[in-house]
Amino acid sequence: MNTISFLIELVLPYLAVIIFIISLVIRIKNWASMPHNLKWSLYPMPVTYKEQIKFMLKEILSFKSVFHNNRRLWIGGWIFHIGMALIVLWFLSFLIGLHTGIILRIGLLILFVLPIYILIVRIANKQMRAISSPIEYFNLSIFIIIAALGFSVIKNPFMHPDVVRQYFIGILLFHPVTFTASPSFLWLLAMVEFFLIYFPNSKMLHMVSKYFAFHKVNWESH
Amino acid sequence: MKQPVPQKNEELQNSQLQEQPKKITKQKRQYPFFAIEDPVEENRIPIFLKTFESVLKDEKYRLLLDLYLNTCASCNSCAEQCHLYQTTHEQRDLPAYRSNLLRSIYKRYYTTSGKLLGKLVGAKKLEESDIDNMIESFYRCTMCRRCAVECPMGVDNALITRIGRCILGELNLAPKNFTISSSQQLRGIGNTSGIPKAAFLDTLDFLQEEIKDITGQNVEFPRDKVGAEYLFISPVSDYIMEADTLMGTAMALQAAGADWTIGTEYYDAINYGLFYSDKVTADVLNKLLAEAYRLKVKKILIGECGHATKVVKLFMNIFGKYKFEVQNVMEYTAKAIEEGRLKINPEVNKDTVTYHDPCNLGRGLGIYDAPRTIVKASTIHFVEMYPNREKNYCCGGGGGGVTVPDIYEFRMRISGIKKVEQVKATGAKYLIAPCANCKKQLRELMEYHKLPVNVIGVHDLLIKALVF
Repeated sequence: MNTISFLIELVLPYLAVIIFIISLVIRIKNWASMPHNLKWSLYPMPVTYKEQIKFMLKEILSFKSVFHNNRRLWIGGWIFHIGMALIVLWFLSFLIGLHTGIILRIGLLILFVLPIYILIVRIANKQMRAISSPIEYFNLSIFIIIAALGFSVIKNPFMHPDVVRQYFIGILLFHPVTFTASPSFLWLLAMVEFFLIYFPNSKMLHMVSKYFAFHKVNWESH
Repeated sequence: MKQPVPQKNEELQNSQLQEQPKKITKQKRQYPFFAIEDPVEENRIPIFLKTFESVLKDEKYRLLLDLYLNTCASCNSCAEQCHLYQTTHEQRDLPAYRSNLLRSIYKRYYTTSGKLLGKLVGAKKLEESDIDNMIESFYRCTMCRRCAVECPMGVDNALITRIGRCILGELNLAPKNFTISSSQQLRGIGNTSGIPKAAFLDTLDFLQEEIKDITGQNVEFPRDKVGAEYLFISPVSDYIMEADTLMGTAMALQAAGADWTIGTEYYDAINYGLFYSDKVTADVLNKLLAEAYRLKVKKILIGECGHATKVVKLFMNIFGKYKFEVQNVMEYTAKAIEEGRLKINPEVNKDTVTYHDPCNLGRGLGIYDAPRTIVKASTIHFVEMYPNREKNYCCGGGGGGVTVPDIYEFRMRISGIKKVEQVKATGAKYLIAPCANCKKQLRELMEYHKLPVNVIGVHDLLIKALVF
């Protein structure tokens, strides 16, 4: 195993997860602990915990606001997030030995096609272009690259699922198993590790920041 | 062959040497959008950045700004809700685009990625032209917060607009009407309309006589009653322009058995600071609270006005030297109706009426039902405009814009158009709008667009409908 393979396969997985967790905790702790003396409430607001959960779930599961206000973007965004959910679902089922390759393929297809669609919407529409910056295009490109590499790994006959499963289980149990990974797998792993480090320090953390925007600001009554 | 250089005329040469160098006069900056009094002309960029930095460190705003400036999904849901953008379809009126004027500066100067990567992450170095753009942009926005209702990330572009205005305010880049009125309120005669105490007292007497003439009832406007339960205070402009609202209010309070008073040392609930300056907000607010303290009241009852109620309710705990329970008078009256303390005959108000939800009362404070309780109890034909409540459109004069005559055409032909369409669709003869600013804007709109609709306050209906 050469140095680069060693770093990507055996060092960076742990480093990436540690940085991911630490960055996430710092940002959440920062937002959770900040004072909010100015009451800048927005009415109507869900009052009870049950009402707040219902509101958030409705928004998270259906992207209700974007559905009503920007249908073209909603198609891309909503399906894209379903794609991400499918990838996570596949990974968990893969670890426990289920054969869910079809879920992986659908997820990767979505992760490849929909960011391209969203990119086109952002670039082709004058109003969307006016409020988008290169970093938004970059964020979408990460997923396109990861999906393309994912397809490349699936198509590689030397990347047997059982070997890959043993590798990930070894990582999770702090008992890493080395194997001769294909270049596409190494690239894929490197991209995922980069994503883990980058994600909590990027705008993609909007899934967490919105919780605080609603709970600590908009829904704070007088 | 090289041509010889023509020799200069010696006399001409000498006269040129004696000519005094021309004075380079700096051209005064032009502010086309609205008139500005004594704007800061030099060192605008460092002052802007210093002020921005202090706002970012300000405990009041740190959480909100950190969230709002870091979070935006760039989905343009806000644009579909913005009455301004829906009318102009201009890029500069996209709420997210406007917020990016400040967001891009924040990224450039206060984030590591912004400092290193600049435009790639949407960061921008502040230039003089950016400040000029902000002057117009932050005042085109009426701070109605309709965009915030639909934002999937919970971002409130109106707050970013307000912060932008406050920073510009430190450079004296606020409408002259704001600064002069606030100055008059704080240092001059003590209120934004320049009404001296003697004239104010005469007005109260006049209103009492008017009520007697119209209804035959003796209704008092109690003055300086120490220890009363409520101090009633409304925008001083109501005493010039909204006599019916005040008369209806006094009648309702007396009929409901309220223990209330008006303070004659300070009687103006207007606070333009809400629109452009925390310092002015605090100073004006404390004048109001000092009057309540002087009279040893237990609670403050603000008149129908939206922004006046919002300032006291939102900022009292931060800036206020004294603390009181605060209510809008419509909340009091609605409760009195529900508890049966007020008897009302709606048959006297037969015309079709509709109700405009002021942004500061509705989206800002959740006061949607109280005015409707009073209106529905006082009329027989109430029609909701569409959309309504939290989705209702701004009158077009929000954010203090109604007080700036320079942007009259903008308010009539751009920011108020959606409201005109709404009112037309109801077919109503009366448009009820509690907020003083909304009333002024709406009356001007009805006149400009030749709509035969009368704009009145909520309590106006009670003058005829209240049964003593």
